[in-house]
Amino acid sequence: MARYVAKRLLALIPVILIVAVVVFMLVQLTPGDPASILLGDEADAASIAQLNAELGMDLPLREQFMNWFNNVLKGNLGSSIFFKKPVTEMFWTNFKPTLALALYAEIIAVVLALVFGSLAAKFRGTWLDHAVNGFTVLGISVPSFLWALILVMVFAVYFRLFPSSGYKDLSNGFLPFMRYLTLPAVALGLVQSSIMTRITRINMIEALESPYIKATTARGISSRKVVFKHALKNAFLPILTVIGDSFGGLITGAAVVETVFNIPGIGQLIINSIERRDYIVIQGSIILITFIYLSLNLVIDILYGVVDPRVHLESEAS
Amino acid sequence: METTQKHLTHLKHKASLGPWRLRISLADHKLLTIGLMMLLIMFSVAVFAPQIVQLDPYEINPMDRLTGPSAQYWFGTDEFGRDVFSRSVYGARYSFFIGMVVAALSVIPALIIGLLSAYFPLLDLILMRVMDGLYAFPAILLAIAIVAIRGSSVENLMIALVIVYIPAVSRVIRSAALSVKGKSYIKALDSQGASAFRIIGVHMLPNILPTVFIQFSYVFAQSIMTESALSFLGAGIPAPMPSLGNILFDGKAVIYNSWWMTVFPGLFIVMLVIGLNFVGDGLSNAFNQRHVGRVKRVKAKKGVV
Repeated sequence: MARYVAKRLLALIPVILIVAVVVFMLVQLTPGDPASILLGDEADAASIAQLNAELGMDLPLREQFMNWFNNVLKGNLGSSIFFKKPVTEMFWTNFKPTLALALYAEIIAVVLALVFGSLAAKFRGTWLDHAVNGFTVLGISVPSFLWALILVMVFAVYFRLFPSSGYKDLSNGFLPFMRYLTLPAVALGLVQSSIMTRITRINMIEALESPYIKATTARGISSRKVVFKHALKNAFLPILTVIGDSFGGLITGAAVVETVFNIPGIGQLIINSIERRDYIVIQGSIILITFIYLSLNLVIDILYGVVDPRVHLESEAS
Repeated sequence: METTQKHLTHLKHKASLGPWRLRISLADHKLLTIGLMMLLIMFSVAVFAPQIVQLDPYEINPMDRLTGPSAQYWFGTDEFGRDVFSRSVYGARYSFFIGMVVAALSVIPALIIGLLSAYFPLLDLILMRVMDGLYAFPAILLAIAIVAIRGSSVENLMIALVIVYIPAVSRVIRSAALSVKGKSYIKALDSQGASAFRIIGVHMLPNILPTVFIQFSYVFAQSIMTESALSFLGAGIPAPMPSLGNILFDGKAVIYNSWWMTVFPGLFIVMLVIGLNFVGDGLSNAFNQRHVGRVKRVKAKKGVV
């Protein structure tokens, strides 16, 4: 087990290095140097050169990268050009609504996927299976921001059940918090759940055909119990990987859906930073989200190894 | 005697299944047919946009702002009184064009990367680490960052999308190429002294072409979705130019009264993407390549679109 974890950690090093190089290069690609952006259009050459020296922009590229990467590893991502606040501080303030939205969407997606996927597997080939299949095709083919707009039209504009945009912090009470978050979470959850539904269905079909399920049925256990208790439990491992995988996607997806609903999360932070040409914030947010995504995947992989020892045994053997 | 009889009826039974089987396989290709039909409609819209559209998509008519669908304005007008139908048609044209170019530009390098890294283990080690690094980025955010930093224009948008899709497609092509490489005929060629480039180009490439076509259609669909999301967020096709994403963005502000600005461009996106996904699914059914699956990224990671 320890060897498996060590191996996974080692494999992460080159990935982090490449992520860092790409993110660093992003700002190097900026038309015009950061100093002239900081100082505005009417700055003279001398003060630009001075600021460049202060920022370390006159050093060779390699040294600049080393300095920057060093700071990143220490958790220092620089300060916003516009607000003069540390990027990490701004990021974590905005991360809370995004995380809440992603978690809520994940719950919706998992519940929908397990129910629909199991039903489709149980009633394979019937109208129910086809209906579920139609749902997954739509889910995959409609971008989440479009789902968001459709849900707003139906549930906010037509039925007036939910607010069309906005965000209420948990400190305003649980009910308002959920009321504002439900439509965005459904929009986001629908897309994720259609992928999970497909995986659940395939794995459930496999599980339902295995001998132990036939034995359970033969013993006269009710079919609901067979599907949801015995088969689902064994089909769950591959589904777990998809759930883990989807979480990184959910956080980025949340960033897009947030914009539709004016939720003050990471998406808003990045979009507003584009308008302010605040590259340091964009750079910092991207690297933080990527690191969160990578660590989540690592945790899921390790958990997967704990739940199912075959995984790390196989990878050690190879 | 009895067994021969049995055998014969069995054969007869099999023969009677003949046309039935054909029908089943046609049903399998139903997806492909429906997908191709939807795609043909959207393709004609994209190609013949100048002929279809009667009104200038840029023309502002303050007198007619936000009017509903009518004989003059089929899809209504937006907040500047511009014709939503001609803007949607041109938006679909740009989406289609961008999606196709991005799919071609990302599948070709991915094909080279995938084939080379499947054949040369040392190269594989380096190339796949780089691809893993790029793949670690959430697709939409990386694209937003590239467009934000380089400035929003159609070229920068395409560069961003290509960078985002190359790693995902390379991985899929590499794994398809690896499974071909394991086949005994490749080993036989190798032991006969065939050169690496002959094996890769003449023997491996044709065998992974189905995967390449399937990936092309998925990336095509994905880049249309991502492009519309980026345009919606203001990091895609720059503003006065019509795009499905920015019509939807303008529509969001007036969603309480002007449903036509959301419904029609939304429908165009769905038609484009479903058509392409059906073609991709139909192709993979036809080639019986289910296991290859869609580009993982697509899960809207990314999707998050």
